[in-house]
Amino acid sequence: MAIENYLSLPRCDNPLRILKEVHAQLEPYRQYLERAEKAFHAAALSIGWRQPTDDELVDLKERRDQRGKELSSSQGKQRRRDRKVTHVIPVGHWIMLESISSKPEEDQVFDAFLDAMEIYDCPAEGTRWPRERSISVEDRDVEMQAVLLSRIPGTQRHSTSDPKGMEEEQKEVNERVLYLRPDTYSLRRKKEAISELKDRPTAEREALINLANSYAAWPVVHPHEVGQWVFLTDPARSGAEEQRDFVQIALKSPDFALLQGPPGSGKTTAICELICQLARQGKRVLLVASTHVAVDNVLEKIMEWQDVAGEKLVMPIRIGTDNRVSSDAVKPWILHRVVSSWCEELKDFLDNPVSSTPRGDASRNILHPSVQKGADDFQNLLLESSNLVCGTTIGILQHPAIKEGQRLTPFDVMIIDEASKTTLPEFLVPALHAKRWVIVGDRRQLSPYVEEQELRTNLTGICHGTKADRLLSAFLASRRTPQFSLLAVDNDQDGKRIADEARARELVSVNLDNPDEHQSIPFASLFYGCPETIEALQTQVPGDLEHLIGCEGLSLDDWRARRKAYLGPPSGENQSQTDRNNWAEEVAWRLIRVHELRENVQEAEPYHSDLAALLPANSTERNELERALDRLRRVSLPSVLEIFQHGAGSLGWKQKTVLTDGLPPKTLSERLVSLSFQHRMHPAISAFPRERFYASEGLLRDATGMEAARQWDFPRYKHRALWLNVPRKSARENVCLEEVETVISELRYFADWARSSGKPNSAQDQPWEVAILTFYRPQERKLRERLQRLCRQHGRTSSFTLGDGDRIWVRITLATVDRYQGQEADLVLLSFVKSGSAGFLNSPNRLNVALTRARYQMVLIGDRSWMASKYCRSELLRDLATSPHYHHAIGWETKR
Amino acid sequence: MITLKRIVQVQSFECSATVAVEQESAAFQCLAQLAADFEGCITPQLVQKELYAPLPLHACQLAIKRCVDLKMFDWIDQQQHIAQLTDLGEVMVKNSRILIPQQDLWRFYLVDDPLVPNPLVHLEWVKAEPAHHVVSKEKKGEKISGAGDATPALLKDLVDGQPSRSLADRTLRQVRDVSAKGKIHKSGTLELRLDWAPESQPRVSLSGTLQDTKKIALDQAMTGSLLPDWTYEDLWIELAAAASDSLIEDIWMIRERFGHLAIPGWFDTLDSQERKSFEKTLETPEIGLESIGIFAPSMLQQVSLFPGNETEAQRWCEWLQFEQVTNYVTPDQLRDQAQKVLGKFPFHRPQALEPDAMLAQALSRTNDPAMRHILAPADLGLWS
Repeated sequence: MAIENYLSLPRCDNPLRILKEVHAQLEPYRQYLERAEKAFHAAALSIGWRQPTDDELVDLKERRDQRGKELSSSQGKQRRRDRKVTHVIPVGHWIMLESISSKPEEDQVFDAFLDAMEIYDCPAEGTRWPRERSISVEDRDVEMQAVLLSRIPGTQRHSTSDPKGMEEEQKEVNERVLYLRPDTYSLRRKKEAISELKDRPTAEREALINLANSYAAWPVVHPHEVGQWVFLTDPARSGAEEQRDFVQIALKSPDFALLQGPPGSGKTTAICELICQLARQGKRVLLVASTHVAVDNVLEKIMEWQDVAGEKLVMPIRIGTDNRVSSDAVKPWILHRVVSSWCEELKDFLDNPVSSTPRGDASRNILHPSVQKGADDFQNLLLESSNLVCGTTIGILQHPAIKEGQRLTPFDVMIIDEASKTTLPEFLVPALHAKRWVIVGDRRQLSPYVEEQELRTNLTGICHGTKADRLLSAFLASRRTPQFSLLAVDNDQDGKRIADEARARELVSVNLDNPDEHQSIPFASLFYGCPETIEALQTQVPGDLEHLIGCEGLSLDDWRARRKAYLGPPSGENQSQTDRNNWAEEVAWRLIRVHELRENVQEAEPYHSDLAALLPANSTERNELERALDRLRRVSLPSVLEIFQHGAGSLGWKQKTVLTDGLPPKTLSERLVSLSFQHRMHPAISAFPRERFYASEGLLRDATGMEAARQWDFPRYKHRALWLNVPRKSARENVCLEEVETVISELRYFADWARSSGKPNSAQDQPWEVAILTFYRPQERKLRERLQRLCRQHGRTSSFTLGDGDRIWVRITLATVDRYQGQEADLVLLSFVKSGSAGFLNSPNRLNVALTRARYQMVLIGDRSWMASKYCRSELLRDLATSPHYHHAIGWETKR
Repeated sequence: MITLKRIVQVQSFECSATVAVEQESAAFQCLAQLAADFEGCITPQLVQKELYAPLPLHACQLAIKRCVDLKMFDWIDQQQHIAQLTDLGEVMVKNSRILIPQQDLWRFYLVDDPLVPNPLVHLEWVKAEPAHHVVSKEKKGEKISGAGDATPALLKDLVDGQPSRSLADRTLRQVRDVSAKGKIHKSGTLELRLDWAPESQPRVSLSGTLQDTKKIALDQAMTGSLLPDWTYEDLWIELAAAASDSLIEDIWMIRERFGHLAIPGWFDTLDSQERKSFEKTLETPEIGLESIGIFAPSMLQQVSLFPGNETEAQRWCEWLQFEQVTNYVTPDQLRDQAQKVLGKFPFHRPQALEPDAMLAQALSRTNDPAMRHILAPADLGLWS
């Protein structure tokens, strides 16, 4: 019985009550993930592809050779000839991944294909993926978004002689689409983690159980006095005291410690200090973050310190693949590299144990056969001995023990960075393998990425069929610009419900089956009837109906002809029910937007109103559905950081738990440290974000000496935070070519200056770093094309360089804002693109991330006049556009 | 040979616990072996020199630290990362396995019996019933007890004790920690059998099936100093005395005086086979023996018989003389047979009947068909 496990919790007075509370609060997460898993199966990913150009092929080969060299150099001294590893160069055909023209792809789709071991050149037949159409991925180049395949897609000899099959195959090949069998591994692990915690709460996991326990007792934290600091050596440095406080609390907290820090406030430094102090105490640490950069920044910093200090406190193991690990300094510590290089040398040593003694023969005789057999046992020794195992929240799932579902010896402490982007189930997967947890992040930065498809499927689970159709049609008809619908109903009961819904919303509806109501046809916005009646009366219903719901298979040729005469083909025409907008879809994206705008209440209001209008008018039905929506919202959207600080909402329960209301105030204050000083940005750059996003908490204050630390003599800009107003002329959605040209032009100015101006102080030999950011992928693509031309690096996608021979003076990163969280650059060129509508720019969290990446210079490029005008409906964007912190003027020096 | 049996109760208890379970890992075992080969002491430098030469010294330090966490080593000087092999580490070396702790829900099968040296006869990992089953059972009105039972002292006493092998699957494990509460599970029984042959160690075995969904057959023997307060003779005499009317002192006296284990035999109480073999099988009653508990009724096989006194010996001897006559005999032959019979009474001095005395008795028992073997040759003049 699960109850036995609850009995083991040391401070558990009533196990059955706790079990019921935990079950009630965690089960919705499990159910959500279960439905999401089904949705995942239903929606296989697809992506376009093309053959690489000759230039790209040369680049790909060069880059692969370079990787091979890096791998060799990380393997230390030369080994015996007979055991010398010759790196097997994978053979195959390179192809370039690209968006399908009709469907701009998200980053996640590219990532999924670049991580895949196997892809398909045809979609699944039902749920079956034809073996003969699978292609193995031999290698990948993340930067160039290219994969090396075992064969060219579409070249597989078709087993059938059916001409129709051949024709379809040819069509697929012509379309150049690749498919990915859904990989539900991460979803499964999250679901299992929820069940594991709920069903098997061991004493070590009591604190995690207490997140859902309304009677949880939280012990007082008595900070640990650190004797010798590693990174935080200067107490006079702005914010060092806060960082030290955090480390001392985290060292002693019996359960959780939280660090909230705005951009550039030294979260990474504090994490590094904590890791080193824990290592001194002999503790094993698991470090995870939602991005590779965040993990690698910590590792890089620690390894750099160890090299300089000559003190070895940490032996890290990085879980991840070469392509994903962002730092070259970290790559030698990737698990497979460490294992392969050391294991080969170990074999050599055991074959010829020079300098050893015969007394060690017996132990070597134990080790030798095991090493000869394989590296698994040795790998286990390294993983168990390492005092810092790290990876991304998804990547850590590749830890051999986690992957095989084995129970790991729990880590003493788990540190999760960028927790604002991590959901509770994502957190729990690694958290189950630790005894204490340190949560680091900034809830004013980006929220967890939510797969809309998962949310839609879950919404369909709570409202579907005629009920969903009824609510959708009533919602559309009651909008400010009403859209009229015709619904086919199977029975009188459904018809009555539609009439009731319409009446409650003061809409006019017509039951086509009732001739007495036909006189209202000209005034109605909702029409319904049985399929036979609809067919019979098709000439009488209005021709400007927007939506046909449930009318698939009906013969409505006359109506269609009339409709065409009015408006062209109707939106629902020739589309299947599932492709068309439906209730779940309308609700899903609004729920996500409302969550994104949770710090921008005013702008969230229209979405709240829409969500209310998507619910039934009947109060009983409405309350029930409202509760279900709230349940979905709380399990899918909030980050673990928000949960600890504020909870995810109560669902109407009287009892308060961490999951519903956050940690109790006193408990939170004992465990939470906020860092208030920033050490990244020139004060002029931090001014707006400080006032707009952190004023209430008094955070993002400039550290002493920031202005002096960010001195440079780049003459083009008079101000450090600048807005280049680029009125938008081109009309393409999410692309602004004028802004692209401005970005490139500014980059040229900077590159010209950077060629002869090195970075100040200790970084003199390092190139300047420029980030070109935008909110939209289509704009990113345009920027990429221009950068490829400018830098003459046609195979690159996100990182470019400008230089001369061996010397590089500017390193450029192109990214979407969402992807760039956790990174920084000397100069940031931010392209807004938007004009005419705010899009998702009005998310305070996203805008905060965008505006806080620059060290020396922030240049905003966009249609400022529109954003500052009354036509921009986002108050946040208007504030930004009218802010005195962003100047118009470019330096007079360049105009001279 | 003594064989005793009894039924023992198996108490099964489910609770969350940390149990170190054996695992094969050459990468760690070799470290234990290395320490064992260097007087139990290990340093990072030694590890690097003898085993893991390619690893940096820091990695060797961490490997030793991990072994300390696993209780394979103890620190001698933590600052210098110098450690020594623990008793548990020695067990690991001896068994060529390392013990890895696992916190989980376990079911412990415990036998509280003085003859079972380690009460933990077996343990198994239990897959917890999902919480939603408990909730739905409760919704259906099923009574769910959330109180739990206190962890038996027997189990608590095992924490950090010597590792032992399961009698069911022979895996080596050590209980590291148990929660204060758990649930008593279904109890079952096993048959305990004590076999003790003279001049050897007693052997105790448990057999039967552990009561659970998964039937676990047990038939494992434990040997060693299981009965420190008893010798074979003590137990044999105790059993023989209880099974016969003899006094313990008498049996001891026989043992002391004549050097072997036997009970006094009374001619009239013995059947012809027992008189001939000087042995009998004793049925021991249910018996409670100090420090080793109560045993079920049993049999003590081949118990030697010793004539109770000279008169008994005389009667027994005469009876045996006639029993020897199975064919036509002459007086000389009877004298030879009498010598053999007398040889069966090394500790008594019965007088063998002379042939004439036997003939006289045969003449008085003419109805006894066996007597014709004496009478017929006498009648035929073969005796003159």
